[in-house]
Amino acid sequence: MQALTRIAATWRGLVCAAAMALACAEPTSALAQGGTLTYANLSGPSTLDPYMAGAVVEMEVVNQIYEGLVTLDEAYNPRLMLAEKLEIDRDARVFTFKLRQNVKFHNGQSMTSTDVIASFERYAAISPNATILSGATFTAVDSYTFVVKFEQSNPTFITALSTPLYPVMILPADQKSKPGREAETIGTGPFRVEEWRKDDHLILAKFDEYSPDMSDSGPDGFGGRKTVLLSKVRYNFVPEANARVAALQSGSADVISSIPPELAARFAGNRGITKQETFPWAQAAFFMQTQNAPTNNVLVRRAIQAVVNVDDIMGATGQLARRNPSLIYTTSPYYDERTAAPYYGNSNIEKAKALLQEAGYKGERILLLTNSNYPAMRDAILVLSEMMKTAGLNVEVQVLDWVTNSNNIQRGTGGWNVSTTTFTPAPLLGPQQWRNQLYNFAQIRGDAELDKAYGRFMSSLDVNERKAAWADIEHRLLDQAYFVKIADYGAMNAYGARVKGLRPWFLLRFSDVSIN
Amino acid sequence: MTDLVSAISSEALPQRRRFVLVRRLAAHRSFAIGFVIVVLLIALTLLAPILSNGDPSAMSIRQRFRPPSTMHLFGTDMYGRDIFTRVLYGARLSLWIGTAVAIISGVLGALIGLLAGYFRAADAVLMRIMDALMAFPAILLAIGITATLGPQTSSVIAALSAAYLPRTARVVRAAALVIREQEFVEAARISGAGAGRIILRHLLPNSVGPLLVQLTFVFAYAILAEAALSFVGVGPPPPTPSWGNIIAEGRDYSIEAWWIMLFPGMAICIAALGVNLIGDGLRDILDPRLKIEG
Amino acid sequence: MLRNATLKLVQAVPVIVILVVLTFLLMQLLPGDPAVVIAGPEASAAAVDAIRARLGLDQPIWWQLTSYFMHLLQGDFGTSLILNEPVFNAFLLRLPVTASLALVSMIITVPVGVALGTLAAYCHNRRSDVAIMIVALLGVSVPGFWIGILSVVLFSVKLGWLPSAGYSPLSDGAWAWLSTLVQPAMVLALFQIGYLARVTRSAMLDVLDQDFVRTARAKGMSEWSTVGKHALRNALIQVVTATGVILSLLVGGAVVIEQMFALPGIGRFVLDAILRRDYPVVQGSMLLLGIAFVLINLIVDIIYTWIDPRIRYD
Repeated sequence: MQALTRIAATWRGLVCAAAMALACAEPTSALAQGGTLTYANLSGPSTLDPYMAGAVVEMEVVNQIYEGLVTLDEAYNPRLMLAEKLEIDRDARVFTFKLRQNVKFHNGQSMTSTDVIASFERYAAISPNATILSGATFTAVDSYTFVVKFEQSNPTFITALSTPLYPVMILPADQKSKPGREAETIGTGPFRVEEWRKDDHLILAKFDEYSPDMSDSGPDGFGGRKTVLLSKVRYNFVPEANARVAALQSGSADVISSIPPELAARFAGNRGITKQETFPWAQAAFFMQTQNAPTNNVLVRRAIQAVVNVDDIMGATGQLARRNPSLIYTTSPYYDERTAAPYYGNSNIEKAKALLQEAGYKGERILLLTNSNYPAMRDAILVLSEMMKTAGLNVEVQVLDWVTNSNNIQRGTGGWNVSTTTFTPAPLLGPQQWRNQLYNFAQIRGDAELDKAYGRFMSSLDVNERKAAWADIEHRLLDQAYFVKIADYGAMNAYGARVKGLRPWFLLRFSDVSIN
Repeated sequence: MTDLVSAISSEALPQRRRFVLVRRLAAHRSFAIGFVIVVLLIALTLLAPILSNGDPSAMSIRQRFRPPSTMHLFGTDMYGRDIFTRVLYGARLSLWIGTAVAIISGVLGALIGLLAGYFRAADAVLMRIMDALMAFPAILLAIGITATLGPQTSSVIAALSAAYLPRTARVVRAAALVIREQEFVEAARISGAGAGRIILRHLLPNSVGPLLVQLTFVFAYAILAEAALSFVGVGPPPPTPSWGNIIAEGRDYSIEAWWIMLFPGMAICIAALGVNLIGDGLRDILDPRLKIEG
Repeated sequence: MLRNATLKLVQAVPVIVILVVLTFLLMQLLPGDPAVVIAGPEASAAAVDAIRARLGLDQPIWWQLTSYFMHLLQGDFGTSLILNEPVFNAFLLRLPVTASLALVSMIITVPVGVALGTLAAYCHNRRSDVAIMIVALLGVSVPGFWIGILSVVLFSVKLGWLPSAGYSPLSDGAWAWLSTLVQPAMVLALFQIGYLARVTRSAMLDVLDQDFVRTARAKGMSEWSTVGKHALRNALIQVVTATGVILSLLVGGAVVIEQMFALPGIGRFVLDAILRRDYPVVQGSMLLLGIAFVLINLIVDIIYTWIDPRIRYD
């Protein structure tokens, strides 16, 4: 098969060259149309119901099939998508969206405010992220005007609404009564689902009646004017990194992701393959279950915090990584390194031992929870466990599968004390996006200081007040050692010579991408 | 066959016969090579703390991915841990699991096989259950049981013992059946000997030979199976080194850091090879016609 | 012969019943609450309870077992929690992949294994015998997944001859189909060839030793008549029995190999289900596999009887 592909490719190349020579008067911007792009990634989505899409692979697919009122632009700021105009009242309580007209769903129906109101109501009922809509009432003033009214001012609502994780996508009104994970994959996006074999592959096909956003000249983040040049995108789920890399080298995959940096050296000297490094992609942090002993004791938590050596962990995971003490990226308006810097990256075993003594630590077991599916997470936990042992902590590492790991983190079950994961949209979208995860993962209860600071953040209309509130939040988090930041991670993707137009971003997008 | 078998049975054992047997084993080339390999392995395992740096989990991030050298005989892995140390300690785990599985499936298998071989009623029931267990591919059964009991060494042992139990029972049963038909057993029964006595004095000794041969093959299977279980993620959990674990952790780097994967793999080969050779030798000496799977 | 066949079929029924009970019990031992898995990580306690009641998980064990039997008799092997499809359908969808792998692997294994074993027996104790037996011994001592990794490095990464992952269905072209199966089949065949060669050699040695072969040789019959017809036919019995074992080894090996080579077959299906706690799939697939092997052993036994009519079962 490889021999045939190579021979065919050679002939195709010769013919293309000849054609180009003949057609040199053609404008060079005429990109190739059609063709199937094959993308090999680590694993497939477990659901395509956008309101339940919590994993990175789900984010990637869902944001190409569906669209929402607002989304992220190329600089990760909110922008309009299905709404063409937005009015916010002076108190940031009433949000009036003017909807675009003649937007078609995959089933041919046109989108109106009936669909929008049904979508918002379903989201509020079933999504794990429904808190962003708490205290809201929805009204459809006319077919193309939709109003969201909050009881109290909600200055960060639009940023929250533009989330790519658990996105508030617009579905046809008849999907309203479908339980979570059971919505049909009917959206307004430029791609539609053609075939989905959950443990093997997913095929997206071009949606021929797609209504692009003509207010823009080109694509912008997940929004803007998107054009689909491919006829299909085939996602192949290939768990072995060796196999993905080999697939790209042999041409059976056009694009691959999740490449361990050590393996990227195999492409060196291969001019047909382009490496793409994207920063930032995610943040990694440890968090502690504050309801389980002994991590219910702040001194023990601070001892663990004091042990963490971020350089060693970055070195061990081998990921593209950069130091950043904050839970927010450096490009965000809320970023202030003075808050978090004192708590970051100062590994001090003696200090840890002193704290343990002060805490009266008697060798109680500390359970570190991780999984076998994501090496970066597992590596971080293993390195941490060794560091903790040098400080005299009694450490046990539990390696489960990702599903159980994720369950236990979200519910606080399983008896774990410390775990980790990578956070993708929360650092991008900012403090209001972090709230659920901070409280949930660390099982924070009854922390009046944190509650007050968050309350101030969510209700202040003045951005400077919000910055001050976030500084208080971050300070409290680190002082109480609920979360311990590790590093900012980058992503490594690679693609073959036939692929054109793949712009680096934190997720792979296939509109405005062509294949020769 | 009866000569040699009774030579190792507890009945009327002249010293000279036993000595003859041992000499024949020593002279048998395969057995001798296998024996030497296994003894060396056991020695290396016992001496592990002395021969290595003592701590298989000791990390040194600055030393990650170092190729084999005089300081690190087998190189280092992604955390800078010494692979030689990890392979030696992994040997302990693998050999322990192999031994435990062999013993447990041997004892239980012998029990079931003897009962089935002597009591016809028990035979029907027990063998149907064994058939049902054998209908599952051994690895699948082991993965299922380990996933049920949780990823620990004890679960792996329990799971593999359950998977190989039916095969052992079959072998013992076959040997017991042969003896049961013989005249002296009939004579013993008529003269009033109880079932227990007959089983212990006549059936059991006759089955020991085939049982031992089968157990060596079970040992070899167990080593390979444990590696597969670890590779798939349901074996003894990290950071405990097991040969399968080390290979699993190194599989992404099979070109860049080939040493992580190569040495534990070779260790598995050598261990399984040694044990298989012993099994072959035993079988050839006892009775080359024994239909023992290997 | 027909009487024998029906007798064996009748004897297989209690085995299958025990299979059902065993798989059911195995599922009961699994930790965690299936209702929680179905409901998902974000569900409320009320939603979990509702699902538990709907699936009858709050009923006593004997009720659940009986209910399970009733469903099975109607052909309902349960519904996958993750895929939301009937287990039976999902199983059948993935069966062709594993079956293809098994087919290609057997095509490699049987001729090579039998040939090697026969040759070794024929050259008993001479250098060829020793050499072949060393190779066979290595085959059963080497971990398959390790060889698989090395194979991918050589044939897919360095040489680029064979694909490293994925399955191409037969409908997309025979050449592509074969190329995706060759590597995993070869890796699996290694152990099997070793096993088969050893079994064949031992069976042939038996036969070659027997009186009638010596008599035939003494009478001056050609080598082919002695070896070919008599010995091979008798050794065939051993080989046929071994085939059942090999198939079982194959499916077991496929569990890891399918994951490595990203083949969407039964092995990977069950492995994923076990790791993700998709209980109905684990239960249903183990049962289906168990039944399949009971039937395969049954067929092997019948062929056995047919080849050697001297053997009778009491």
